[in-house]
Amino acid sequence: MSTNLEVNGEIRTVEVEDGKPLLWVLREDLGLQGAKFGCGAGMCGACSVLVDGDVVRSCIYPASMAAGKSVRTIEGLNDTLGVRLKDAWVSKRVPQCGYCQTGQLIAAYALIDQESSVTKESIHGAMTNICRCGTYGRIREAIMDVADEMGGSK
Amino acid sequence: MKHFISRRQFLRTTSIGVSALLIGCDPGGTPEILDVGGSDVPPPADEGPWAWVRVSEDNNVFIAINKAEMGQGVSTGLAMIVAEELGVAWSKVSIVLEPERGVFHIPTTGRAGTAESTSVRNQYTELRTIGATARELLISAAANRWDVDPASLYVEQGQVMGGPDGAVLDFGELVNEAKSIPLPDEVILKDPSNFELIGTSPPPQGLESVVDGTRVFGIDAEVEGMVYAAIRHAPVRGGQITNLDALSIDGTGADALIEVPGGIAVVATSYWKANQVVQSLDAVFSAPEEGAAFNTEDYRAALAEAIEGTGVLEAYSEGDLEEALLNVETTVEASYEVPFLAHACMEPMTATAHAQEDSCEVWAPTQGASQLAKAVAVTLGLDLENVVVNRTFLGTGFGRKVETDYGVQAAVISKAVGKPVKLIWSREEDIKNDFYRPGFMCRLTGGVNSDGQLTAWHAVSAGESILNDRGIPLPLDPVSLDGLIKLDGFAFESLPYRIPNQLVAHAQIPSPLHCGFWRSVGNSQNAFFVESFIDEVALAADIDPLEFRLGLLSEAPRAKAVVERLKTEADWGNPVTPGSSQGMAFSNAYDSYFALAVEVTVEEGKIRVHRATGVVDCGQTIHPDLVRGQLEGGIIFGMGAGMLNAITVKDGVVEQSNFHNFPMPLMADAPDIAITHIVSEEDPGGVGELGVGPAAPAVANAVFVATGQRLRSLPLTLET
Repeated sequence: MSTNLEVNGEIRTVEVEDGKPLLWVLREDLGLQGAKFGCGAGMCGACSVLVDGDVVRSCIYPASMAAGKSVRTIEGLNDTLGVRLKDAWVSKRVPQCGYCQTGQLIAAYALIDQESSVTKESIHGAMTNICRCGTYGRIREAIMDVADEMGGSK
Repeated sequence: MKHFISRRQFLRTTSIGVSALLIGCDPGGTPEILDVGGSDVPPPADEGPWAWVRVSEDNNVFIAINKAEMGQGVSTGLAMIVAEELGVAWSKVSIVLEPERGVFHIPTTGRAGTAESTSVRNQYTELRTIGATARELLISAAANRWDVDPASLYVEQGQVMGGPDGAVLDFGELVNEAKSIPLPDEVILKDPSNFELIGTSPPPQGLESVVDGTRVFGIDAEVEGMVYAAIRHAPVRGGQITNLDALSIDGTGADALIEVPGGIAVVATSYWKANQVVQSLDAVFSAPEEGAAFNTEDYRAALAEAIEGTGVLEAYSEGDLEEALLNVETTVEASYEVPFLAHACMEPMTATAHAQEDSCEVWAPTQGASQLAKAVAVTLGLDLENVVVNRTFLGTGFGRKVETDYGVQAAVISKAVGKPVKLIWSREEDIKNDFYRPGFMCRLTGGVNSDGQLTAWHAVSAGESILNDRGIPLPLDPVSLDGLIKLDGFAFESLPYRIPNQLVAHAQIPSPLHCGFWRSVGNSQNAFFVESFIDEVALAADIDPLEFRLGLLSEAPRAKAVVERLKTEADWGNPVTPGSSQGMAFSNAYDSYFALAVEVTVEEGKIRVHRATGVVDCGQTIHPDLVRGQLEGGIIFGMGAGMLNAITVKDGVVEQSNFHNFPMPLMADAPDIAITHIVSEEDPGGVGELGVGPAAPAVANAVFVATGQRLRSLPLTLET
């Protein structure tokens, strides 16, 4: 059915088949390929996007449920926090293959956005995305750096 | 001294006393550029240095990358080697992923894929020669322009310097003229002490495209008019669909149902739709008898019997084992086991293909582009020159993406529907239809004399050959034996320790599973066997395991230096993490040396790794930070597999399917890792797989210290 989705601040009208996950609507129908397919079961986090500010694993999140809500993908993560995170990922040389990193950035964004103080423990609690390259240590450092920077300005 | 024979050009490199060939060329395919730094990229030449190096008029330099970028940083490392000799500022360099073609086959690796940590170490001199040749041609062009002796000119940061009255010329102003100058007979490579780029850690290529989501992985390839396909394989390898005619996709919204090698595929305008439909079909597959009878439990029993038995082939012997065993004070015997393992690439298997009447174009995340081109040509009955394989970035590869199965399937489906097709495997299809790291067992016997020296070494290993499965039947698969015995000049690595009396035997026990190259290959099992056992022997002889290794490395100065350095870097004997225990392992592989120590606690039956300290000597390092990243990631990869993963098979069917039963380490499991480099001007070694092998035995050795339990099987499982 025809559905209005607000994606990265724009209203997009798409034909959404019943049950089609948000991931495939974003990738196939809206041309937003930053969110990746990893497991199709909500376990790896490569498909993470924000819906009303919360992380959802879009491979198991029906697109119809996003109607009336605000969806943000990596392509729209360009506010101060988003840009700082992306810059930290580059300056810390976090990515190896890069496939999971857009999902990692989304999860990190929600963590810093929602937590009043970010600690190693809260990072471990929030960051459950799989990285097969094993970049976890650098992700952890990049998040701590940005959380410190943002501490005063949040 | 290396000599490479060229069909066309021959260049002699003088400064380092080796002769090197420029580039063998068999042009084919239409060059196409994917994901490069700018839109003003000039077209490449068909052959010679200008196929690899392109200079735009505005002085940007584009360097072709002939290996798969899957996170190991090869696009940065290889471009740096060329750029160093060319003499260009790194900020002006972009990479070009060009389609597979002959000009990019370097003689030292030939048509080989991206594997075995060879991209830098086997191409180092050749890539330098390419950069140096382009540099010399640019200098000659400037010399002609200024009518001066080229010997009076030099390059700096993308310019030829030293012209009359201090004149300089940008490369971009010279490149067209340079292209018309015949190749020189020889070029002089830089003295490594004058390197400006190699050995530094400039920003890697393309991280911005990762973080903004625009990097084009295989799964992101887009072709006009493309449809999507999903696959369902026969549950037992080699099975075929038996009721295709009875299956219907009417009313499902899908467009086609096709038999493909390995199973069936459904085509639709959405991957999700295609996968829903293909998985819901009431498909019945045949099962080959041998495959359906296969159980990993039975296979383990066969391996256990083999390592006790005499039906094994001698792989290596030295000295007199029997005699030595009569004269030792302490004898230790232990058997070890590792399971079958899947790769679980972050990006599942995927390929996009457009097959037409007489040609086929493929876009794929592949470690073996030329093998894929060949396989597509054979399958579709096309001439090889009419198959183009375009390289994309890989969402990891780990050896899985040297295989051609998924690319061929995409081509077959495209041919059947007459449209471009993007095939994506579900994670379940990926885990269940892998080319697995084979399960292995190994029985080791060691004898230590009254001076505390390991003088006797008897190893009997058993497992499947990964070469046998690809039509290269060998009585002894050297790849399987890597790291277990001395195989200098043949294997990728060798047993680093000096042991005067050795007997190593191996039994190849076939399995009907596909087996293949898995990150670190033979070292993935043999480092666990050897490094666990060395610890056991040391402790039985009441010698510190690190000191014991030093004693065995007295004739291997680079290896010894790495282990010596680990002693201080890891605070050996005084773990930093409160209440933790230390364990270590060492590996000499891919022409590199790596020692690793970990700090581990065991609480409530759970093994936790808190800190990992590594010391590496990989010879001349191109980009130290990328090396560190590879080792950090390799440690996590080896740890994760060694602590969490096993593939098991019941009645021919793989029992694991997704990350709930083939789990991965997460951030909370990741230790703090510190890597120390030993600076070296020896030839570069490989690092992409180096961190993997030592991880599991280092943890197992620490667990023994912590608990007294010697865990001899992977994944490490504590007795309760």
